Amino acid sequence: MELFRLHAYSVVPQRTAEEQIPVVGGAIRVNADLRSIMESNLQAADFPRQPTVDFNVDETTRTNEVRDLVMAFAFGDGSPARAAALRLAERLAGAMDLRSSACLFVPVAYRAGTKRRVVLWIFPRDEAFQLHTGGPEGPTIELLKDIFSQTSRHRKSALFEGRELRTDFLQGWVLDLQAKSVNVNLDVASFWITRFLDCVPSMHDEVGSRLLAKAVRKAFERTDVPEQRQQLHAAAMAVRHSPNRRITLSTFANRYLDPDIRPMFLSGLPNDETRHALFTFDRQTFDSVLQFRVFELESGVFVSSPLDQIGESVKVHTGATTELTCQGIVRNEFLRARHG
Amino acid sequence: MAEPLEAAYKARLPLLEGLCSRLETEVHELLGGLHHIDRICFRVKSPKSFTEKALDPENQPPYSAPLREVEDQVAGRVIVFFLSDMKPIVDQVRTAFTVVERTKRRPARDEEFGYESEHLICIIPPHVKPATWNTHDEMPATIEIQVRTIFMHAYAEPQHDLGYKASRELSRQAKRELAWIAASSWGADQAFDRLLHSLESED
Repeated sequence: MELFRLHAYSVVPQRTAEEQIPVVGGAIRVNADLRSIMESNLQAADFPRQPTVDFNVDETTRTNEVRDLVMAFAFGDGSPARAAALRLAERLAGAMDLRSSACLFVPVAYRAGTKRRVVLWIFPRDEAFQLHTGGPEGPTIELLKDIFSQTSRHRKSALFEGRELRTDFLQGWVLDLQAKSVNVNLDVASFWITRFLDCVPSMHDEVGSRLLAKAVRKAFERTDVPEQRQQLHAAAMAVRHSPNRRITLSTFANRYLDPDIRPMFLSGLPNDETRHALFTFDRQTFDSVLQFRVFELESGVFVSSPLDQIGESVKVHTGATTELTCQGIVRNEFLRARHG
Repeated sequence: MAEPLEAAYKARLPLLEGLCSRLETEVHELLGGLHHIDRICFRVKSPKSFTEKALDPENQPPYSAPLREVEDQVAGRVIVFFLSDMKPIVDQVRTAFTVVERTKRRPARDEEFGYESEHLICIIPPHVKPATWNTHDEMPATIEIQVRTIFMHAYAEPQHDLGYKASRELSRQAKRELAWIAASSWGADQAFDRLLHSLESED
């Protein structure tokens, strides 16, 4: 597709700010270097392997402010496109609070026939050193402050494409490394997808949690190697206790499973889009599908049991306290490090 | 125009059928815990029906990309016993699907009786798409799910069939007969719901 429109705005977080700082910027003349840089960024984003999101549209009018602005930027003439880009930049400022750094917001539009693609980028403000050599006083270092990073893990992007139809531009792909990282709270992680884009992950939370449980169970049933079964079990327990509830099936495999068992787990999923779909882990759904109950004893011992064994080899006695006894013949024994 | 369009539609039928089968399984699983469901069924629109809809001269505006725009190429129906069962179905559908349009179909005027049903247009979620779905350019982004009672259905299906068979405008008598059936269906739904609630309140 041909890049035909690019705007850039400096955006300062405004959500909780007392002083209002307007966004500044506008249309940028695209030269060969800039075109090439944006193409490299697009390739690096690897959108086909990123999660899809759906616009949260009004069910009676099928409208969503961001979708409408994105389409105006894609299909509008100069003035409506400028107004749409500026409004998107202002909306972004309003969605960002002081936990986010100032950024460069870059909406880019592409075309091929009647189809359009819009990619929204934010590149966070950064600092960098620049070494100067050959001066009369020898080498010096200059601190560059007003720059924006193309490679920061806090950069974000979203891609929407289609024709000017009511059935198009309903769904897009997002690059949001922060949303999938381990140590970030849900509110921070949701700023890009929820507050700014007004989207929801295409894979809803209960569905993702159900698919994860089914995939674990299917992999468990497909192997009779005790170490692999043990690993699947440990992975299921680890994800239940992980503080990071935003996950994809692919990140689950990479984070909790050894390479030898990953292909078996992933091959049970319906398609690539499902592997990369982002969702918030729902423990209740996961447990109900996996059919396991997990007990944590005062001693720190965890007992996990298939549901059909509760009342059989695993007996739970409820009185003033709930006590558990488990009896059976040990078939295998493992010594494993706990997954994080 | 009709032949190339129908041929293009037929070429995608295996993918649509794959989607249809997965959707039916998904919705069965999704609604499995709810009561009073009479049936859940999904279908792929026939090539003839698709082409007629796509090229219907009454479409305003006409479809410019019907393979993408016709939203009931794959559609499903959930039929429930009672009126008050419809909302829990819709709520549960929302837990798995992004709904982009919700329409309560009913006669325009309060004193009229006719077709009633609830139509949801949903974005196709990732996990029900057949593996090669995204490699084709013109696949639909949405599907339709209808939620209705047995009595709404009892009116809608024969009425649709009669309307389809009629080669000319229905006579006044035929219209009044249909209105009477619709009114009776509406009344039966109301009576059943009242009965359900009165029996539940006795428990």
